[in-house]
Order: sequence, then structure tokens, then C-alpha cells
Amino acid sequence: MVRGEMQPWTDHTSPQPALAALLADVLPANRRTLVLGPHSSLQLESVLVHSSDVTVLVRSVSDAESLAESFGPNLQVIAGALDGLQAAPFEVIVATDGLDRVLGYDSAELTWSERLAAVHALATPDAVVVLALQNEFSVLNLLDRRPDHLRHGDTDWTPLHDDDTRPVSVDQFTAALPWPATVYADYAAHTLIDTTVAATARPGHLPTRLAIEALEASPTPLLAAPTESVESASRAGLLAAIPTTWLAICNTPTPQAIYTPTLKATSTTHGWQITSAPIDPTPSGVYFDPTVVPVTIPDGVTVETTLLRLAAAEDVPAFRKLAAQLGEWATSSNLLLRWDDVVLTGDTFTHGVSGWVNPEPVDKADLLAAAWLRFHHRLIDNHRRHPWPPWMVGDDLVSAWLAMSGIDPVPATPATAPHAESIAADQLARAKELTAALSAALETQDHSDPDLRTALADAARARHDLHELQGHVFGLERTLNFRNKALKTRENRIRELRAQVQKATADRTKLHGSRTYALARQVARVAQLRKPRKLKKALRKYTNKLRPRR
Amino acid sequence: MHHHNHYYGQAHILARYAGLEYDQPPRMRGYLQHGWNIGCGWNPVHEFYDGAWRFTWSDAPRRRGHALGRRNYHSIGAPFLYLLDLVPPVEEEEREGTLWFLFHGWEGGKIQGDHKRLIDEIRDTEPGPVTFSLYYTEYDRPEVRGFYEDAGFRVVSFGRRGFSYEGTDKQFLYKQLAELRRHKRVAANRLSTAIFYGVAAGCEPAVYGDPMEMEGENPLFGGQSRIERLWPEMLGTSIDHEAARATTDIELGRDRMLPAAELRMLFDWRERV
Repeated sequence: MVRGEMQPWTDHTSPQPALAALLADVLPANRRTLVLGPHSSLQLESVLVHSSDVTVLVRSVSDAESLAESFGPNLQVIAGALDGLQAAPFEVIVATDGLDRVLGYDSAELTWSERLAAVHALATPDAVVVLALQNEFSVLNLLDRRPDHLRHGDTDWTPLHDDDTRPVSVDQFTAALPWPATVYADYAAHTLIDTTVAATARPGHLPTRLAIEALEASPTPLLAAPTESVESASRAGLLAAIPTTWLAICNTPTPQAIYTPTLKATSTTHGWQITSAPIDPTPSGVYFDPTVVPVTIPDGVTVETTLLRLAAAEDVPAFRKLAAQLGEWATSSNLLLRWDDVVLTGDTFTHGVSGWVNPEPVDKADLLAAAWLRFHHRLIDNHRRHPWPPWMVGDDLVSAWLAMSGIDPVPATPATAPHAESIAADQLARAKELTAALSAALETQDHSDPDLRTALADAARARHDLHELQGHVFGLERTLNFRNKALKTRENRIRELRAQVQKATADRTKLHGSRTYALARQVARVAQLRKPRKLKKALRKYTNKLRPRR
Repeated sequence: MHHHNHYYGQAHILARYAGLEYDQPPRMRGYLQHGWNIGCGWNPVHEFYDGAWRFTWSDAPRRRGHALGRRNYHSIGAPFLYLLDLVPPVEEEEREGTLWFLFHGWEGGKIQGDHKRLIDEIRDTEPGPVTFSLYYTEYDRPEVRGFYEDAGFRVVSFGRRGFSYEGTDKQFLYKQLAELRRHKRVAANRLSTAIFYGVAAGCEPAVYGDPMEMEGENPLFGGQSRIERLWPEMLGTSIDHEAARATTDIELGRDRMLPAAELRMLFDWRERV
């Protein structure tokens, strides 16, 4: 125990597999090591793998007791504050939580640079130092829907972020460090990317899509989905400027450019050299199989990026052509298809780093349907521009894309209710299960609590729909008017014909009543007689009748 | 939905292609382009109701319409192209002569021009017999039809496009297609829908002669001079057939054609109770 401990108090930590993998790669073996600040058990284990002389300093007494109980004599645990620690210099200092949670309420109010000086004082001249810094300019911070005072739970007694000595860019951070360093950008405590690599990444390329995937999995309540902002930053060469945290690796080389829970990647002249690692099975039913991830993947944009651009340009023929090529390329497999992880190089496709597989082989049609369903979610939920009318959005649109990929559409059948489900619902049932399982495995945030942009867009869409539906009613009324006009035309024609019939009937009746007609009928009758004399007699009789009487 | 969709039996052709009733095509949820033009696909003052979708033949009208502040476009290819699929030529008969289309007026505007001079130019240009196609608005005017009959041309008309769902000759485009397939050349005094239909049906095109004027013609989209700037390869008495074919494919939206199932979804023509 040293001066400045806090009790009762606890600091939350979370396991960060990518960070643990990075520590395992960069920490030298058998050095006197200080772990500064709260760290998860997973991270401590990755430090202990390299050294048996490890001291951890945490400000919470209860956290210290818990660690001592968990790790026993392997770990020397000290409860107290940084400014209270008096010790011989360490050869390795690990502060992956940064310098925000190393002082207590009884400590002096040290600025960030003063804290760094204190760390410097505890390090040997050639010490390997791993130091994190929260980024106030992070995209998640900029898009955080909560007011500032609700974001930083540990700054209650002092506003850390008002500290002018605190770096807020990669350049400021490296300039402030007293050691040469390689800086990683940490996206949502999930994905670490070397900032020099991140600075050159472009939309649709591996670093950008891994950053987006990490940020999309963040539980931070946001004003808007981070995707568009990250892509814009990437296009501007600013991907390294917007992570949630930076991590400086000082006085030691770094072997890999990218770390995620499932892979390490190094940039090569042709693309990326991938090393995959298995992770614990997820309850969703799918699991990560590192053996299906290619050892090298080309550095290109994904099919999803290309499809999104074609949809935005309303270039349906090119979209259709690409969908057809994808249909020819796909095969039945355990590996789940996702267009955001299929790299397009020229006319060829390559699987990316997603090694998520289904335990049982999946039919090609279901794999394609699942890929199109995922694409549909990402197109529609992100309010992307596309050329399909609202009544097609949903299963019908997925079915249309599936047909473009060569899967025969379901034959149309008569509906049995006014608001019957799409005929494609059955065709897509299995794909929906696969898509849900993949989303659960990727920890993609659902949209049950929509961000502000979505809420505003939904409200605007509702107003727009109302306006358009009123227009639709107007259009239907116009149609009725046209039809009514057509019916009136026909009615007039019918009236004309009826008048003609009435006139013809009257003429016929008049004719039937005439003497001439009677004579003609009589002639016709008698003409049928075979006895002319009888006819002559009858005619005479009849003409006598007609002769006026004197 | 709009009665213009029935013009020339276009909605009927699409309904037949989509596997639905030909005589009574279902209501279409939007506006269907019914003729080629240099604007957004419709006349400059066409009425559109809010939220209506606009089904254009090709992408260019969509782009121009977008610039006019209009949205909700989807290009589907000209129904005439679907008709070509529905009615393949029975056998390749010997084509002969020229089917000549006079730029036609419409119910609201009659054309004015020097028909005599046009006839002389046609006689000087066309190598074979000439069949002259008049829209009924000219066909029913003896003073116009007479010019061409007296010149010795065979004069035909394919019927009326109709109005308010009445009087539409559903076979209009069928008759036009059959006539086009009998002729070697198609010609007109303005670049127009018929020229593109003719090229699509395998005719060699020509556009020449007095373009004539129509009462109330709205030059908002740029008129004849814009046509000369944009499609010079389609003008003249002798036109490069390959270039004309390529332009025709673009203007009729051949690459925009949809399969039947997709067409049913797009028009909201799914089966209903």
C-alpha cells in the first residue's frame, strides 16, 4: 500500500484480446515490470507470460485485494496512487489504461504531462514503455449523444479533459513522449492499427473496414452511425486521428501492423500477410475458424463498397453484372459469405479476414441470400442512396438481388391476405438465421435504440411518406377520373346505340302497322300456297276488302 | 396509374412480358416514359403527382430529371425492346425500301412545313420504294396525307395512342414493328422515337429533310440544335450503322431491361388478393 489509495472504489476493466496479443508480441522477457493502473486479468496474464517480476499499481484497495487473490505470489500488487509510488526504476512499464486512473482523490492534481514525468521517473533509460492515451477527438466521442459530464465517470472530482497539456493528436502524443515510439490507433478497445498504416488506408480497404467493424460494435450511444464519418476520415487520410485511444509502444520494435481478436496482419507489397487465431465459440451457433482465412489477401476495396457505390450511382446494369459474377463465384461451403469481406481485384474475388463458419455446410443459394440480406441491412439502415422504390425494400429486394446472382426467383402465387408476407420470405428463412448468427458473433449493435440521425431520418421519412401517400391518393383519384371519363364515353356511346335501337324499334312497329306491310305479309303467305287459283281467289277477296266502299 | 402509361399499348406489352394480363394491364405505380425525348423523358410541363416513381427507358432522362429536382427514378429500357423479345421475327424476309416517318404532331399541336419540298428530297435520296408513316393526327388530315399519296408513296398509320384509357390501339407498336421488319431503311425528318425503334428492329437509319415546326413546341430542353450537338452520328442520309446501333442501345436503355419477376416487383405488380 502506498499513498493515495482509494476505498471504497473499483475501476472497471474489460478483456481486450487484441491488446493482449500486442503485449505478448512486444514485451521483452524477464524484465522488471510495472503494470500501471487498472488492467484486466487477460492483459496481466499476457505480461506475466514474459516476466515473473511484475508489480501492478492500482488505486483501488478492493481491486488490489482481488488481484492478489487471483494471481497469488506471481504478482506483486500495490494499492495507491502514482505520485505515492517510490520504487527503483522499472525496465518495462505497461500503462495500457493511460494515465487517467492512476491518481486518487487525495493525490495532487497533476497534469497529464506531470503524470508522464512521474512515469518517466519510474523507468530506466531504455525501458520498454506501453502507454495509452484517450483521444478526445475520437469519432465515438464526437458522435456521443450524451453531454460531456455524463461521458467520463472517473473525472467526477476533476475535469481531466480541460488539461491543456493533454495531447489530442498522434503528433502531439509522440512529441510529448520522452522515448521513440510506434503509435497504434485503438478503435473501441477492439482493433489496433499502426497509425502510419491507418494514415494511408482508404475507404473499403482492410484497415478502414476493420476500424468500422470495431466501432460499430461499440455500445456507446451515438448521434449517428460512425460508418460515414470513418469513411470520410479515411478518405482524408485521417483514420489515425479518430480512434478512441492511442497506444504508444516505446523503445521496442513492433512486428505487426494490425491486431484484432481474431488476427494479426502485416502490410506487404501485394496486400496483407494474415495470421489468424481461434476465439471462443459464440452462443449464436457460428464460430471462427482460422484455417479458412487466407494467409495473404490483396489490398483492394470490398465488393460491398463497390456495390454501395453502384447503388448510389443508380447504375443497376453494373450492379447486376457484379451480382451475376458473385453468383458464379460463390460455392456451397461452411464459410459465411459477406460482401463487406470479399475483396474485389479486377474481375476476381478473394475472401477476406472473416473466418466465421457454420458448423454444417450451407447451400450456395442460402449463402448468397445471407450475403445479400446483410448487404440489405447495411444499405437501408445506413440510409444509403439507391434506386429501388420503397415497396420493393425488404425481402423482395433481396430476392431480386439473389435472382441477379443466378438464383431463380420464387414463382409468383396469389396472395391469401391483403397484407401477405413477401413470397420470398420462405426462400430467405435460412439466410435470416445465418445473418442473425453472424451479427451476434460480430456483436453488431442492433437498432432497437436508434441513433439521433436515424430517428430524425425516420421522422423525415414518415413525413415524406405521408406527403407521397397523399400524392398517391391524388394519383389514384386522377386514375379514377380518367377511368370515369372513359366510362362516361362508353355510357354516351351506349345511350346513342340505345336511342338508335329505340328509333329502329319504333320504325319497325310503324312498319308492322302499315297496310303495305300487311299486303306484303299476305303476299308472302299466299305465295307459299301451291294452288294458284286459290291464291287468285284469296287476292281478289283481299283487294275487295281494301277497295273503298261506295 | 397515369393514362399516358397506356399510350401505344406500352403498359400492355410490359404486362404481357411480366406474365400478366395483356388486355387489362395492372395499374402501374408511377409514370412510364412513352417516347424518346431530349429532356427528362416527358414534356416540359407534364404533371407529376407527389411520390410518383418515374420509369424511364434509359439513364440520361433520369440524370436530367434529377437536375430538375425530380427524384424516384428507375430506368427499365423501352417497352419496344421487350416487344422485340416477345415477338421474334418469324423468318428473315427480304427487306425492301424505306419506312419514312414524318415528325408528327399530337392531339394538342399540328405540324407546319413544306411537304412538297420534303417529298422531292425523299425522292432524291431514297433508293427504293417508300412507305410513308403518318400519325393519325396527320393521316386524318387529307390535305397532309394527300401530298404523300399523290407522290406515289404507300401511306400507312399504326393507329391511335388513345386518351384516358380510351381508343388506345394496343397493337400500335406491334404493327410498327412488323412494318419496320419489312423495310431496309428507316428515315425521318427529326431524330425521334421511330428512328431508334427502326434501328433496334434492324433498319439502316437516316434523318434528313425539313424538320418542320409544331404549334406550341416548348424549346425548354434545347430543341433541334441540341440534338445536332449531342447525337451528330444519328443525322444524315447515310449513317454508320454500328454507331447508330450503339447510340440506340443507350437511348432505348437496352442494358436497363429487367427480368419479368423484377419488373413485377418494381411496378408493385405482385399478386394481390
